[in-house]
Amino acid sequence: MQRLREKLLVFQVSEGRDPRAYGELYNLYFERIRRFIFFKVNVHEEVEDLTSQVFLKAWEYLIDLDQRRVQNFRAFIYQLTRNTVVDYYRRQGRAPEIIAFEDQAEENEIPDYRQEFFLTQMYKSDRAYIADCLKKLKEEYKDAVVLRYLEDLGIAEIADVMGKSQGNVRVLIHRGLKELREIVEKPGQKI
Amino acid sequence: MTQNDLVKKLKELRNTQEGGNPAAQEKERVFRALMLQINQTQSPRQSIGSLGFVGLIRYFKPAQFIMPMAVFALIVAASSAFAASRTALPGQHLYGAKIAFDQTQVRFVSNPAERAKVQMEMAGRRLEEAGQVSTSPEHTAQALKHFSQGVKDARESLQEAGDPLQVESAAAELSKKARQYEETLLKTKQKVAPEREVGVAAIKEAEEALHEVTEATDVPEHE
Repeated sequence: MQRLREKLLVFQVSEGRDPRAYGELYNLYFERIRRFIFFKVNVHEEVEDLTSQVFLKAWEYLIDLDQRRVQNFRAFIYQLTRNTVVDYYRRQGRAPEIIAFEDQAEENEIPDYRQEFFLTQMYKSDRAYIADCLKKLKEEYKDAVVLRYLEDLGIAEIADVMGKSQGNVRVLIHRGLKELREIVEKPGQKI
Repeated sequence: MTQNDLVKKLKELRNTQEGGNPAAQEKERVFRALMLQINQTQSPRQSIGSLGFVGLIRYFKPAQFIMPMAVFALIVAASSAFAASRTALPGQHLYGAKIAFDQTQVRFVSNPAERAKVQMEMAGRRLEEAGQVSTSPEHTAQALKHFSQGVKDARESLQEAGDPLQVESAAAELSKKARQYEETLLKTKQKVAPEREVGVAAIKEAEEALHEVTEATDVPEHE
């Protein structure tokens, strides 16, 4: 039922440029998109700004008659979010890490997390610790794990968002969780 | 830690600030800035009604529907009814549909603190409607009953909210609206004939609902 309602709202925005309909879409997706960006961008001040950019870009896309019609708003807005963050990385002079399935050596993939932050930071709660460990994952693992367990998307939807096959997404989730567990359980990390 | 434990901890992050959830003011702040920028674009292109069946078909292709095309036609008809019901007042034919649509909007707000604010806002609409039909105590009572229920629902939603910052923000807003509504309710009370019990009872119930919200949301000043 929610999907049908979203389609109607997208229709009202695209054809009628209805800001109230867009406000409802914003209401439905703001927390999700903000959360998704939170785990991808380390600078807190940029999270709000990037979230705002995503919603403005989504509006501009929807009202542009020359663009393809959006059939699945959820997949569309997550894809747009990923692209917006990639653009942000480029402006920072930083390339996001892409996982190539063909030539991975798992033993070389564990990130170097011996940073002062983990050695000196006092965690107020387990949740803050898990969130920080999650931010340390490689981008594609992080995206897959966040979309699956925090955003509650299905495998097919995640595949749409990430532009990958469902099989690849399952592998990303599996490896992402494995790596996350290793980071979480590394001795001496948690104080 | 097992994988299941880890997944459980990840899911727990969902509605927390550690998990990237925003402060209540941030959502509103971003929304206001967004609407400012959106309003700078061109005026609405055309009315939805003028697009017709063919225009809608582009978005609602039959293959993607789980239900048959009859449901789609029902949606279009419902949209027309929705448009007509927006101005309905208590006692009018489409007033029930208006209430139902407003309640549907509330259901889609998952965050309890935000939902409390929306419910309080909706309650305010019922109160305005009560003022517009104050010559009819029965119709006034009908609107006030929805108003009281809306205020109670807002209070319950606020009690469900977990994040202290969101609760504080929502409580402040509810308290402010409750005070505004008390003044409006007083004006409505003055218009309703005192000998008509049905109107008086509804007003009393509305006053009590507002009093409960004011008591629950008032934050004592620190010295």
